[in-house]
Amino acid sequence: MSQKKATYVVLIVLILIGARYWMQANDLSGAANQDTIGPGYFPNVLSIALFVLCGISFLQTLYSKDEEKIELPSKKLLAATIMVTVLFVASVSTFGFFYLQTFLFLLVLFTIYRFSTGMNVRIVAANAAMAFGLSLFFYVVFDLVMTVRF
Amino acid sequence: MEFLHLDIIDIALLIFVILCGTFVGMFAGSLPGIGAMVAIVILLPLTYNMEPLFAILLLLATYQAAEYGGSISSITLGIPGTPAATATLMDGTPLARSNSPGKALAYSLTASTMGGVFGAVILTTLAAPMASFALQLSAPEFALIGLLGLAGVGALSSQDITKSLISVVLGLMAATIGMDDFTGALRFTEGFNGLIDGLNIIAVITGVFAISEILTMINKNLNKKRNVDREGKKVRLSLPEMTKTAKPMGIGSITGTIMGIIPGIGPGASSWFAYAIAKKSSKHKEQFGKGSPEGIAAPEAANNASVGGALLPLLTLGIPGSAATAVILGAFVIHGIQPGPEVITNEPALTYGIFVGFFLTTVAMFITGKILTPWFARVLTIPASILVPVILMLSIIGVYTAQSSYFDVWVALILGLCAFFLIKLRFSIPSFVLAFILGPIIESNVRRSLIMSDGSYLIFVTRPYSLVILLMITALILITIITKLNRNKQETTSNSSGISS
Repeated sequence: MSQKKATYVVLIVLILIGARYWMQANDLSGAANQDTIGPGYFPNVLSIALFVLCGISFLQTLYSKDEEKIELPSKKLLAATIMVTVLFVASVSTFGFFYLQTFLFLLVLFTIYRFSTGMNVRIVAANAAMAFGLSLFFYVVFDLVMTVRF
Repeated sequence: MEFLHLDIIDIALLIFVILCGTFVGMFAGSLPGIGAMVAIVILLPLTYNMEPLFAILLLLATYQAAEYGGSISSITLGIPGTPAATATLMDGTPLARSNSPGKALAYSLTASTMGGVFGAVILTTLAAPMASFALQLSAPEFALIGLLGLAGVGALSSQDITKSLISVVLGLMAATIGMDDFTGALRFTEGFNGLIDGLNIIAVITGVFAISEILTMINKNLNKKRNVDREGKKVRLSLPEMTKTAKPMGIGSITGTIMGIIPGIGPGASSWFAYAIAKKSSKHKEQFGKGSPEGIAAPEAANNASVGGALLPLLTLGIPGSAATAVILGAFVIHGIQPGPEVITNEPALTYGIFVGFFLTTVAMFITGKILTPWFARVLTIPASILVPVILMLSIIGVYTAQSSYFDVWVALILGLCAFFLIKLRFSIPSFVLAFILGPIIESNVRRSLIMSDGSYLIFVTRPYSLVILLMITALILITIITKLNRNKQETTSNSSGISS
């Protein structure tokens, strides 16, 4: 996607967020009473500033000669990381077993990140050893020393 | 250290903590893309159970050492480890190639130490007078100082000023989420209980700095091998070499400290300013860009001096001067301490402990740098495929540990993903973060001012101190506009000459 198109999309999203924010700011009791220093006062100013700045940025983008593209050369790795992380956080917050799941999470990440270097028994063992060592380190520091309970 | 109420075991522990912070800071600073912010964010959860003094000094040692660490990859690889080390690259890489990397690193380490010491001296000398001066300030001045910070970061931190200003507004909007301190009204919580106290600062900072950086690293080549020469890394400087760079070190130290004190400017901009001034005042201008030791000394002294400078408004006004000091402010708040004009009288042991400890962080940086720089240069060969999972896991643990909340982890992940795309579109993350931190300070003081004046905005221009700050804001905006116009003019001229030739 080109920088220009992506900027338009982001600016539209920001204007929509700003519109919802502005409506909620108006609903706040202070703003409804026309009180200049109520809880809605500052948000009102901010939403107007956002609309104005998004408008300026929209025009700047329109007249810009920038033809740069947004490059995502590692789309698959990015998607895989986001998916695995979301699964990890959802699973840990639901089922617990934090350190066991941490080991699995790290092992999966090391494996997918180093997959392109070629997989053999030595690399798999090294990945498992690193994942285990780090999980143990986190357990000692956070569970035993800092008594953090996940 | 009797006045600090520390016994011998405490002192030993304090030195250990400072050395740990220095080690992690230098390590993170030397790795391109990680830098001071991520290092501080990663270490923050470890400070929750510490004594406040130890916690603050651990983070300060990390910040100080990361600023020097950034120059290691700048010099040895030609890739800046931190944004502040970009100016160092101009002369660091050529000197490393033409002479020896060790010599270039030695100039960097000596200048960083000088800058750090200068910043510490200024912090120690000016903190008390500035705190008593700050007691004369009231809500209008605090609101305007906050705005000055936003003007600074908005103007300097992005290639696109409009997008940088949008980032500022977004940061201010994010800061309004949660319960209103004045009326108790819930604002923009969308029914989430986790948002009643507002967005957690640790989740926001970890998300926009660490998670977004992780995604950026994944988007590059994760298994790229960097080659670093193992020879010529002895960090040593003779006395004549040191005296030759005394002037640019002085320039860097003064520039860095002043720019660090102004909220919002930070080490990145201060190192470029110092570089420009050192070049202008040098007898050997022609050597700049070709491996001039002066070109390394000035920016390196500046970025370390700005650390001490940035601590001054944080400690005496409660206003962070940079994104990194904003996280350090978070550490103060976690330990139930609110920095501000009264902190010196209310927490003397802590404040003076920070002053003494800050000197020690500089000494630790010098010693660790002298011994371990060649090792840190070798650390650069660790591939990102190993670093990314470690940083990601530490970020998740750090955010969770702050409030034992998985809601905060989700917030960090979502913000990190958004920040990753916004950075690609040239929005400014430092602007967002500083606005998020300064937002409550600005809003509460604007509202307090308007209550004081019965709704009249004249309160911001009729008080002498307010007027001075307002003039500073105006000057900053004017300088930004003039610089931008000049840059546009230069671009147009170079484009037209390119076409005609």
